[in-house]
Amino acid sequence: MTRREATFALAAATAAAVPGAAAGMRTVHGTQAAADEQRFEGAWSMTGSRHTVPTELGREAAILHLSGSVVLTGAGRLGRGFHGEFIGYDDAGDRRAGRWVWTDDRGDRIYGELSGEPMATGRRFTAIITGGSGRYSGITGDFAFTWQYVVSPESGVIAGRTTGLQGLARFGRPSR
Amino acid sequence: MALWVWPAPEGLTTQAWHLFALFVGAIVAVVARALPILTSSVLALAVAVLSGTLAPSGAYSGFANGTILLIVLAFLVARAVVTCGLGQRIGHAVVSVFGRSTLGLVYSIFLVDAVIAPAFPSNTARSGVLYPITFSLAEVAGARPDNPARRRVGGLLMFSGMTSLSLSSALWLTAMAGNPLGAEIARPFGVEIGFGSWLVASSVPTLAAMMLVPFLLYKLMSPEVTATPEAPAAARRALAALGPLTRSETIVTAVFVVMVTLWGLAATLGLDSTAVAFLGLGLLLATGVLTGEDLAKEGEVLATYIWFAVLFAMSDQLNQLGFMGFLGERIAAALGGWSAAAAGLILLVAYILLHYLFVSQTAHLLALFGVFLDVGVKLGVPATPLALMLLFATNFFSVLTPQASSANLLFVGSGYLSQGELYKLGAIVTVANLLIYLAIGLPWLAIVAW
Repeated sequence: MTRREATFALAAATAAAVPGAAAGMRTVHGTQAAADEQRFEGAWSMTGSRHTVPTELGREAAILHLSGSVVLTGAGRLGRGFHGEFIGYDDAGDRRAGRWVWTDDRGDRIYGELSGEPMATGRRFTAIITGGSGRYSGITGDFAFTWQYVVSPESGVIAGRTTGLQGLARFGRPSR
Repeated sequence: MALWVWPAPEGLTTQAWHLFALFVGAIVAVVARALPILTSSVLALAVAVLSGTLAPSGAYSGFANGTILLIVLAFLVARAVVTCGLGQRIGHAVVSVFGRSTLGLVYSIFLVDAVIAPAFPSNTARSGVLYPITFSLAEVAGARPDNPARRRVGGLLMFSGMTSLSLSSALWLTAMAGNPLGAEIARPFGVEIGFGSWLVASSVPTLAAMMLVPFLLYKLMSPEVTATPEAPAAARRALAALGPLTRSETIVTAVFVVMVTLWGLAATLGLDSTAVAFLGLGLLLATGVLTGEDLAKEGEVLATYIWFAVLFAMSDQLNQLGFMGFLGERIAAALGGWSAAAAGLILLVAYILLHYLFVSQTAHLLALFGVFLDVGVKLGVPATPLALMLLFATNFFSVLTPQASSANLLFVGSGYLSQGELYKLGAIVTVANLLIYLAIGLPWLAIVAW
């Protein structure tokens, strides 16, 4: 990023400047050739709810519903950012499973599954991309990340941010 | 409207973009004095739901938020303190010690708040204690919201209450719910913050701000009355004339002691602060100190409840739709190539400016603190000073707008300050605090925390 871009982004912090920044952030991603692969990396910040019940293991089983922003870096067909939503189940034992969906500015979606260690600071998750809609039709792939931090500001509320999110997307034939 | 029709930036959903447009529109309408905050927020909510931008459950979620209910209850309990005469008694007592000048009264607010702050993990609950004292001080000083001859004295005291809460929260790790959360988020970056290390780091810049900012406010607001050398003696005579505590005053005192004790122990005992306020209000109603008729007169509470719950929900939904994280990540990512010092400064300024979009300090912290800290550290900014400066800012930016913190609302609802005055004073005081923390805090952190 250049200093000019950084200054521009700072201006975006003021509410009035955001439309301009938004225009500046537009790129031509999504216009590249189909049926290729793209490595991507970025960060996923989430906040949401965590509901629990006690188990005989002495730990709590939980259902999670989180949403937030996914920001990706690097050029390619994947957009530079998505609204990310995740719903998951942790049985307090070995089973953890969840589904996630990323939605871009056009409403096109990427779907997937998530699994890994308990949601806690420093723990690792892996994800499979199972499909998509619109310009992401036919997409597959996978990615992994580590929870940079996970905090619970109040009972039933959870928030976290990932670090080292890296993956590979394989594009199928877009539907439009 | 222009924002609404502008295409959503890549990475944001149209839903998030439209909600942002509505939120900004509501705030701009207030700042431009086109609409009162109640009107603009209610209209924004209606458009958000009717246009399908927000689901009703999300749009109305603020009305069931515990912190917002706590404000309503604290307002009603504070009213009992004032109407039963206890507030006047407290006001005379404070004036008898600090009342030789209006500036002395202002400093007394900061002193009282700084002393009680470490026992209150909820700054909103603490505002429930500080507000009746401040309001009573204003009344004893002869100020009335509808009296132009003394309105600025009241306004000065009210904004001093807000500023005091922001600085006392910065002084103590345990004085604001977000502070320990910030310490937890900072830990993976190698930053260890405890009660003592926080106090050492915060003490010099925060105490400097507590000395300088009241004087700045005093100069900015030019109260109608400045020197009152006869006031302490008059206050002592007034206190003597009041005689012993009445039955109502005794009950309110006892209820207040119970509430303050439970609020102070809330974290230790796992008590909900709002439930403590419900208990206090229930006791006041049960003993007849407050009646249903008294509550029916408090229309201002309803207005405050509605506009704040609306803005709270809209800001929260913006966050859940990824808008805040998107903006934070984008700004942070744009700083690649800058020097560590410049990047640190830009991150701090951007972090503060973004609070115009937030209605909760904790929500702001959760959405952006980790992002900004991560990027700053990657750019070579020392982690501990950056973390501390961002966390101090999380406290002192709470006066930036009337809705910047739920702890402001009692003072905002006092009627002494217009929305325009609140925005203007909020911007000036936030800039002053930023300069103080940069000029005094950074050199101090270089000694104790680098």
